[in-house]
This record gives sequence, C-alpha cells and structure tokens, in this order.
Amino acid sequence: MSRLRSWALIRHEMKALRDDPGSIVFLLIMPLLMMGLMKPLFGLSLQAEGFLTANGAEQAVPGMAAMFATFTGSFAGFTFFREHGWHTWDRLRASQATTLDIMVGKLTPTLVIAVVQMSVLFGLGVVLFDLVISGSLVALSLIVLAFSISMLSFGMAIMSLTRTSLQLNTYVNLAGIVFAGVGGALVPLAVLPAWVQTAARFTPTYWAMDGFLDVILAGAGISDVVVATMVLLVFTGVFTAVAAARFRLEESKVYVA
Amino acid sequence: MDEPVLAIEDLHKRYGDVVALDGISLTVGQGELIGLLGPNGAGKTTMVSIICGLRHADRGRVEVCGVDALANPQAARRHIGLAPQELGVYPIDSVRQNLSLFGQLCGVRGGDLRKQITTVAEALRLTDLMDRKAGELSGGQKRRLHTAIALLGEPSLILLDEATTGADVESRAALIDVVKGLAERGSSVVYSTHYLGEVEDLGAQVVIVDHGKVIAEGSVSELLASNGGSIVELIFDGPPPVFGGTRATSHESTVRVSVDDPARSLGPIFSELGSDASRLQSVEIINSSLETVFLQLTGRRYQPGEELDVTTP
Repeated sequence: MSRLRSWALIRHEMKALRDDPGSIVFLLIMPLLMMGLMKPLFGLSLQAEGFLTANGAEQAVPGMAAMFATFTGSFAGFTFFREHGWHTWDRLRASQATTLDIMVGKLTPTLVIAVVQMSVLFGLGVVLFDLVISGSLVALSLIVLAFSISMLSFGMAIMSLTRTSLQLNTYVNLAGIVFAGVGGALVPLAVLPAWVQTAARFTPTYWAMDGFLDVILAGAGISDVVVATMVLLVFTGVFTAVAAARFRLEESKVYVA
Repeated sequence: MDEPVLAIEDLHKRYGDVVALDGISLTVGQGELIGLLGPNGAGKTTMVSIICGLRHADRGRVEVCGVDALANPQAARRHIGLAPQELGVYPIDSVRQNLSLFGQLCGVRGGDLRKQITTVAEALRLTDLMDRKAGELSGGQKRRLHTAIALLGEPSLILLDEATTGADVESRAALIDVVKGLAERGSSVVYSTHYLGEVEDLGAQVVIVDHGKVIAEGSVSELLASNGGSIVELIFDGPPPVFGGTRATSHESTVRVSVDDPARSLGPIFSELGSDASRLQSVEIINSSLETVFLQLTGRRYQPGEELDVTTP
C-alpha cells in the first residue's frame, strides 16, 4: 500500500463529499428532529422500566444516532457505484494504485463521517436534549467506532451483492429501518414482543444500543462494553467476508444519479 | 537487441461462448508506434484491458518491459499509461485536479508533478482550461484531458483505446499530433482505432485485428503492396455471373475483381458480363487503401461500426 496514493484518494473522496453535502446534512438534521419528537415518549417508557429520573434522551439520542448511522453504509457502497457512473473505475484500476490503496482511499472518509456524525449527535444530545452520560466517554467512543466500522462493512457487503445504485440504496435503507426497529433503536426493546427481543441479538444495532444504554444509564466503563464491542467486530467480520467473497473488480455496476 | 516494451504471445480470452481473443500475438519495440486497427468486436479493447490487468486472460503470455503482466499486473502498470475506450474523467474536479490526482497515483509529486501537468496540458492544448470543471468541457476537450492523464508519469508504454471517439476535428488533429510526438520522443504507443484514415495519418506500423486474431501487420505501404490493389465491386440482381480467372471472388450477389488499373479494367469487365450486365445494380471502384487490404484478407467490406458476430461455431 502507498500512503501517497491512499491519501490522494482520501482527499479526492472528501472533496466529493464536500461538494455534495446534502446527504450529510440530512444525516444530522433528521435524527435531531426525531430525537426531539420521540424524547417524551421514550421518557415515559424508561420511567416505566424503573429509570425514574430518565427524560427520554437516554433512548432517543443513541437510538436515532444508531439508526441514521446505518444509512452511512450506503455512502460506502455509493462511492464505488459513482466511479462506474463516471466511467473512471477502469481508469482507477489501471493506475498504479493497488486495490488496497483504492479501498482505503474510498472507505476512510465514510468511516470518518460515520464516527463524526454519531459523535456530533451525542454532543448535540447533551446540549439540546439534556442527555446525561453517567459512564465512560471512552467506552461510548469504542461502541461508536465499532458500530461505524460494522455499518461500513455492511454497506460494502450490500454493494458487492447489488448491481445498481438504486438497489444499494433500497437494501441499505430497508436494513437500516429493520435493524433500528428490531434492534431497539427506534422503539425501546422492552416494549417489543419476546420473539423480537430474541431476534434483536442478530442485528448489530442491538449490540450498539446495548453498549450505549449501559454507558448512559448504568454508568458502564470500558470493561463493561467489551462484549458488545467484540460482537460488533464479529458482525464486521461476517459482512467483510461476504463483500470479499462476492465483490468482483471486473464486474460492471449501474449508477443511477 | 533491445527488450520489447510489449510482448504478447498466443493470447486467448472468451466471454462465455463469445471468443474475444483467439491466439493473438504482438510485439512492440521501444519507440515504436503501432496502429491497432479493426472493427468493433475485433478484440482490440479486450487485448488492451488484459495488458493493463483489467481483465484476466484464459491463456497466453503478456510481458510489459520484461514484467509478466498476467502474473504481476501491479508491477506491469508502473510502465503503462492507459486512456481507456470509455471517457473517464472526474466531472466534479477541474482539469488541474484531475491531472493532479492521477499524477499522484503515478507516484509523482511536488515540483515534478507540476512540471508534468504543465507539459501534458500544453501538448493537449488544455492550458487555458486548467481551472474549468471537467464536467463543463466539450466532448473534444474531455477527450484531450482523458488522453493527457495517460501521459502522466512518463510511461514506457502508452495505450490509447479509441482516443478520438467523439472528438471534434481540432481535438482529433491535436491528439494525432501528440501521438506522433510521443513516438518521436521515444515512447512506445499502441493506438487502437477503427478509423482507417487515422492509421494512415499516423504513419504507424499497422496491426489489423479481426475476430480476435492478427490478420496482417506491417507498414501501410507494405500492406498495400502485398494485399491492397484496387478492387472493382459489382452487385447484381440475383446470383452473380461466373468470372474467368483467379482475380474475381463471388459472395451472394456480389463479385469483387482485383485490378491493377481500375480505369483500364472496367471495359474488359463489362465486356465479360455480356447479357448479365442488364442485372447489374451497382459498380464501385475501391481504390488501393487499408480498406482493400481488409477486404482482400477477410472477404468483407470494412464497416468500422459493425458489431462482429464472434460466437463460436
């Protein structure tokens, strides 16, 4: 791998994202709106569970942050489809950049965006919605990073399985809603049926929410979120294996703007 | 003898039932300019893609500057500059940014990069367009940028695949001039095209490809001398008459007669037709050119835009 080439590609991708910031703005504005709307409802739900001083931000902030982080998976896949749309994919592959250079160059900005997005939402959650984080901020950051990486790899897996950018968007968005709904981000897990609570463990969002709520409500530290972090990394491994098995550099993709 | 810059031996490639390359072999020496000529579907782009490692070959050997390009495509790419058939520039980036990115991907930086960008921009007449977004350029200007990118890093082997497609007259002339200049300065260039006239304008060594095979190679004059006499083509209503001698070939309703002097040959040809002359629908004289070379070798008129039927029998 060449640092020069990877860095050139990273800067190029960051510029492309800066030139079209609409999606990133959407990923900040929409979750904030939903946090504000859902907070009172979540407050009642948490108080009913015994968290008598909860105001609802404890569920609303991590829930919406996690849900919208899923959609960043489509950024990861989209950057590859865009190369096909611009007919630059073969040109890029024929350059002296290795496959690893290209992957690092394209995926690093998406990872940065996912981490920054979630971090900003947590920060705004503290400022705007009186979120109180009783546990370790380092533990929270670990979960943010692990979940972001898992969503990035999820986006790559979907990219490898889809032929068009429309399919990519459809499946990532659908998965985002399903993960959020089943995983306890959209609705507190305690109010969902028992079978959903069982199925939830098979979604990465469940483990992210488990870690977040542990830190926020139960004052968890780093050692308390190790399991959740490791499970998220296992999900990353599974998604990465799917992407590696299915992704073909030579395969043409259809980009729909 | 210097090592060839490009050596291809017995290269094969199929896409399912479609035979794209059928044992193609080619050698390009240092400083050589090759015009790779053939209709659509002949195998030119597939060959170029395999050289650059964009597609896998089924079997064969490809070496670029002594590097096995099939086993080690990454190492081979250090010696190659490619302008693919599909126009590929980043529309959201300026001309300068496009050149800068691909220059850095060639491993060039700093003052060297700025110098190379200036040089290729001047050669391709892009100097006044450097700060314009590539998406705002005309088709011909985009083509020039697309080709300029291939020249960054000063590669030993430059592959230009249909470099003038969609280009205006000015851009086409600029690109041809650049290609000639590159060869004069010692770069090896493989210029793939389906336009016969361009190959003649380039004064390149010609390699004619058809159905995945090289069917002829040599200078334009050598090819014309061996295969390129003029041809009188006669199309009849119904089956053609039988012509005496070995210089006439028939196919469906068409007869083609190879002649040395078309003007003097027409009289004897019409005399030989006799009563069949009443069934004559058209007469065409195809003067000695690469088109007649192609026709002599394949029995088909050269239609640059035709899609060849390359399915296996």
